[in-house]
Amino acid sequence: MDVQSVKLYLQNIEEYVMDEDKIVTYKWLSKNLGIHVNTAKQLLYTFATEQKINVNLTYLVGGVLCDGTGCKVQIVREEDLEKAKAEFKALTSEHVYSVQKAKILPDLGVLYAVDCHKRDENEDGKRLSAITCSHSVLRPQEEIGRLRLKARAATSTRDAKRWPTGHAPSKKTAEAHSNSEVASTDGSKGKNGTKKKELNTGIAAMFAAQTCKTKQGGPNEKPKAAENSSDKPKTSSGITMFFNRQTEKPIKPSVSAPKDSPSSGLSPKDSHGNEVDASCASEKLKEKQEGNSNKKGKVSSNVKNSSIKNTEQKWGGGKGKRVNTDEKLLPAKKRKRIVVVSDSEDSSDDDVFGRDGGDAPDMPPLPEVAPHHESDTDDVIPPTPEAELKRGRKRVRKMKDKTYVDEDGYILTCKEYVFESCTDSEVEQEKENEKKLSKGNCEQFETKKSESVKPVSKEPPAKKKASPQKTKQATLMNFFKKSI
Amino acid sequence: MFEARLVQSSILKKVLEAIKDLLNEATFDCSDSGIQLQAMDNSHVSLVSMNLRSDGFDKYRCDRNISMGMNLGSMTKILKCAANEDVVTMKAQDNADTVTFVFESPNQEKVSDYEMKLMNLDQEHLGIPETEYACVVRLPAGEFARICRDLSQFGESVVISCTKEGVKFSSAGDIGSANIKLAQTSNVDKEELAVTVEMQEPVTLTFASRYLNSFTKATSLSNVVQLSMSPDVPLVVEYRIGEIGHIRYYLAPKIEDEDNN
Repeated sequence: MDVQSVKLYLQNIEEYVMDEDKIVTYKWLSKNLGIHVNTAKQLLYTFATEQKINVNLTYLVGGVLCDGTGCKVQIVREEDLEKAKAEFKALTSEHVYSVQKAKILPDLGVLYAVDCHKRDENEDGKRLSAITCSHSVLRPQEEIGRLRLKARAATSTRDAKRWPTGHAPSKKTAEAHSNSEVASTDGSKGKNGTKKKELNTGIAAMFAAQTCKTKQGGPNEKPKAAENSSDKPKTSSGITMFFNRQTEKPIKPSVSAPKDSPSSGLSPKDSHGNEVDASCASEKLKEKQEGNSNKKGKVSSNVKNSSIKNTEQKWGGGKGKRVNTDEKLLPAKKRKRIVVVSDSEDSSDDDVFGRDGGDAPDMPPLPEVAPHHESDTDDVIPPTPEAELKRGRKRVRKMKDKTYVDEDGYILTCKEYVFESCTDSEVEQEKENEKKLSKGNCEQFETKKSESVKPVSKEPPAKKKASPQKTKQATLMNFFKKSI
Repeated sequence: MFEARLVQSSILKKVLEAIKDLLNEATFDCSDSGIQLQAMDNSHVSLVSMNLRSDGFDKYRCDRNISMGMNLGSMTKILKCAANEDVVTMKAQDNADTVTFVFESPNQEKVSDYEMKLMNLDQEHLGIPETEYACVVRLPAGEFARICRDLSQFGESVVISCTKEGVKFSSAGDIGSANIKLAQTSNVDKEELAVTVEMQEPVTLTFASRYLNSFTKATSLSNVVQLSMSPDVPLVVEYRIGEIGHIRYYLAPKIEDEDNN
């Protein structure tokens, strides 16, 4: 990037931060300006250095914890940076996460809100990611169709067996997702090769990886995995046991579950979703064939889970709530999940290992990757993966004309931003609205739920009330003249 | 050289209490005849005019006219350092940028002096014409304070209407309306308890109650307050300051709003 464009970008940032009073995260910046995330980070750093006095920063730090409990990725305020860094044995990542004018950020959770709109609008944000994979291409429709069929059969069988209630399957997939994240980070850090394969096959790869973990474990797992494994065992969760059991149990694809088929049929158009289901199915098949296996891979997955959990805890209560609400959602969620997966790769993985550089590593074929496996001894329930969190906040922001008749009989038209939220709870919507309004923004936001139009102002009646006598205060200057 | 010695520092304290609600800073104009102060509040709706005659002071010396701009908040702080029975002396050099307050205890055993920095204030003197007012009402200062306080609960405006029979204060607002009628006292035993109305013609005017409430901070200066009104001119609320002067508040009336809003 030449000096001029850097200048231009810096001016942009200054506008965002100083004039528009925005919280600028590197993700937001990257998507907004269409620049690579690493460039965005550098720009933010440059900007922050120049404007040290005027702005407040948050940093993202990640690494291996001193206390041996695993890895952690954390967003911290500038003033807490040194303290947070002290917690790590080895830092893998440290960069400016966001820049804002507000001197005190009341809650780091707001940073999440900054990114989530963009995420929804800009689904191809992957191209700006620091992690790239040439093998990550969309499958052709017919293949997806085929895989979907398989997946339906497989999931229905399994679900029928294990989770009589409707929402259990989503949990399972969530778990799978978190595993996938782990795998990808490990891959990018230790062996770049593994990553590629995973991207290619999606969730299926994760399941496959679990089963063939033992096979490949030794060579692939890397020093990092080994190191983590020693730390990990405690953090493994009860849910992970389910996965192990799955691998142990033979799957009968022929058994069709009437119960599940409608849910999977809900999203025939969503290619991503289909891919997920399909991949799940194929993965399960593999599991069957290979049976139970490696214990090595487990370690790394555990590490990942714990690190994710830590991060989420740091982010505060808001996120936790979202997780809960999401978990209550119906199985139909599945189809969105994949989208999120790709996104999280873009963001969280990038966060942790952003320093490693933008070059896409060569990745070994899928089966070799297989870094994760759940251990039977896991007791801790891993947190709901970010994918689900993001999904819950999908919103569409539209400019709409609202026409209504005033009290005085005037027809008024006002342009309003209507903020529609697909799955959010009412509380969150209201919060959002309040936030926006308090900003002094004259735009009015309406939640989908309350479609009622708010008139711009009702001042005339209020005024009348205030001064029933219809009088105006005169000043003394009307009566006395200035003397010399 | 300016020097003014006042036996009762409490008078100065009360004067300050009476004006610091409306004014943040003010210029004290000292001349041979005494000390004058005239200033409008920030919104230019009310005006304070105070006069302390030189003969009211125990000792008064003013070689040449000086104007001392004072921050009334600072002055209040200094005067709080004086006991009520202290003798207070204000001193300033002719071109000085400070004024000195000296407090002496009655038995002369304690003498304290405080120097305060002066300010340069824009002089905004208004020429107030001598006016014959259509109505002049005298009533106990405490009564007036009570009325203003009570009515300000109802609305931000107080209507004062003066007729032969007496004077009526009324206010209306969200919670309802209030009317207080004071009749002329028929036989006057004690002048300070009497309500008297001298009237050429009936007058009804509307005023902002918050200013009236500020004026009543001067209640401690005098037992009697005098309200002077004429149609469409400012109300004058006057309190006497002991035997040495007076403080007058001028308040612009509220006028009919053409917009009907």
